[in-house]
Amino acid sequence: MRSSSIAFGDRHYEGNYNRLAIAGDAEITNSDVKKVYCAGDLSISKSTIGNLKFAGDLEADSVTIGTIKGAGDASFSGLCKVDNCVMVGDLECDMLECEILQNGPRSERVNTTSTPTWEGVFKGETFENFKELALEGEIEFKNIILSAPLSTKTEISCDNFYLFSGLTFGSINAEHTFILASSNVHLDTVTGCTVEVKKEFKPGKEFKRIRKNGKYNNLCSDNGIASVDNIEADNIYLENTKSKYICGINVVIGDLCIVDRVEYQDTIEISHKAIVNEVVKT
Amino acid sequence: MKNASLDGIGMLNGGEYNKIELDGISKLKHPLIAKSVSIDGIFKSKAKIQADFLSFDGISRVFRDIKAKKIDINGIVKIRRANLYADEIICTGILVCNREVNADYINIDGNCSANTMYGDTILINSNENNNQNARIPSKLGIFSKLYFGRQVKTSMSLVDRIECTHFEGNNVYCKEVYANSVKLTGYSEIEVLHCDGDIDVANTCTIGKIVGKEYNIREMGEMVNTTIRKILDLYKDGKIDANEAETMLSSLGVENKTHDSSPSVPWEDDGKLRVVAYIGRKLLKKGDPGQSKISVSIEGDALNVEAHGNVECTDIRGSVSAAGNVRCNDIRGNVSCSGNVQCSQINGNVSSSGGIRIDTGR
Repeated sequence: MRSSSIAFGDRHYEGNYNRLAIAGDAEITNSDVKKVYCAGDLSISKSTIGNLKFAGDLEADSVTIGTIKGAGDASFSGLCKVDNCVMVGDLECDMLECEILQNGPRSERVNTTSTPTWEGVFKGETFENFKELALEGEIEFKNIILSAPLSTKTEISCDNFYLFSGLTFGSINAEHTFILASSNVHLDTVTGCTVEVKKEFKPGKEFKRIRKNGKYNNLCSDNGIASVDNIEADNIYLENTKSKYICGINVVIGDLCIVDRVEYQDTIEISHKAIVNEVVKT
Repeated sequence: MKNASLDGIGMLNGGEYNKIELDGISKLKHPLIAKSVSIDGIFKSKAKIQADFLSFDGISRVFRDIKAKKIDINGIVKIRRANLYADEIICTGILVCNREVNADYINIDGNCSANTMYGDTILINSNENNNQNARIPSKLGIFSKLYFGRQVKTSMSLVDRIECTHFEGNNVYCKEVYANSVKLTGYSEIEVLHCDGDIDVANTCTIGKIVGKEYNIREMGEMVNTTIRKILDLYKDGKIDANEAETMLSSLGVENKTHDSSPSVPWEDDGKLRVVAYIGRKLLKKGDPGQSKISVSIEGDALNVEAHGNVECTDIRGSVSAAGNVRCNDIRGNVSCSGNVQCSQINGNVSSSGGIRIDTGR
């Protein structure tokens, strides 16, 4: 039978445990633990943890963790796997695989003073960003949902990309891209299969199917105009968008769009409230 | 205030000190406030440091913010996940910071690799000789990124973003520089330079793109010519309302310009010619001192003239009212002025505080 432990002060654990509650610095090696609660610096290596909640710094080496909810700086070395990772603080890793990776708390009541920095390679299914984040590595996720600004120097590639906040950024390459139109959105290039820039967001079936932590109800923009220099996609639907060049098969230019040049293959619709300087059928 | 010194291997508790001297292998775990801190040997800091004078010699790894008035760096300082704030930074060694370096005066005469640098004057001279003194084995260069947390080149300083008033760089690579004046020498390279002032660049340097006042104006001009008129047409045709037009115009970046070019004035848009005077942004009104020093000269006929200063014109088809002198040809209406009147003919009444001279030969 697994035992539980409560520790005050520095402790070292090795073996199988049910629940560890630690106030102080702790080191866990070669262990299998169902739940770990730690207030203090925590070092875990070659272990499997079911549920980890910590406030302090975390150093993990080659670990498998079910759920992490952590406030503090975390460093993952070796190959680490986490099912659901919610972090508030800096994160550094060689390679971190997560089903769901979330930056910042969903609640707006929790305020973080500085912008955390994440370094390394992050892989997984869904990445959710609820607080401003500086990413100095790579993210390879199937679904990316940004509800807060993200700064990164590399192109974002994924299957589904949802942007609900301001973003000043280079390029996005996604099968399906949704951008909530806002004056704080400034993008160079968006490419993919479907690109939508709308004033409102209503979660559709595809969005509901995505495994995620956050709850996204109907969202409205600030009625500003998003700036996307180049858009290349099969199906394009735009509202409140300023763009230099748009190229697609089926293109809908909705209200309050300002576009320099549109190239379309099959169909095009242009709202009477939009300005398009040049339309070319290819 | 107590002093502390450490020689050999040891850990320093935080607190308030007058003078601290660390030599050998030392570690700081709690926040430290001191007047003078001198660090030699291998040092690791996991707590904030606040000091008047801070000297680094040897190899230091810092994981929390540093605030100091003056910082001298002679060895290697690696700042990870933390910022460096100072009034003055003088570095003849190697400074690596993956966040922000902020100081009024930054002088690097060695090597640096930083994410962001803010300051008033930033001078970076990549000095390979000093790096050799720091004894980084060049064969281990490929592992430097792993060790430092940022790419470090012995031949060149690397800074992602610089914002300052004056920037001088010798063998520096920057992604983005915002500065009022820039001087580049050696094999320096800047991807995007935002500069409104003097740019002095040697032939051996490379600048990807320069953004200045002229460039902004040109971009604005293109947009004005092509799109603004169309937005106004949509508004005139009733296809979009005023808010929508404002939103579209503001997306083109012309909102402020529009407001600036049409200051609020105390009269309607009635099509009348008005010549007004401003002192700064203040509109001179009737009775303000200095009005009589202003003369308005109108080429051609005028209908009615009302001036808070002097008036000069040819014929006035209506009446004229002036706070100063009136000098013209024919006046078909009345004349009222506080100065002298000089004209060829007046058909109406004259009220003048000065003299009246009608010269029919004019």
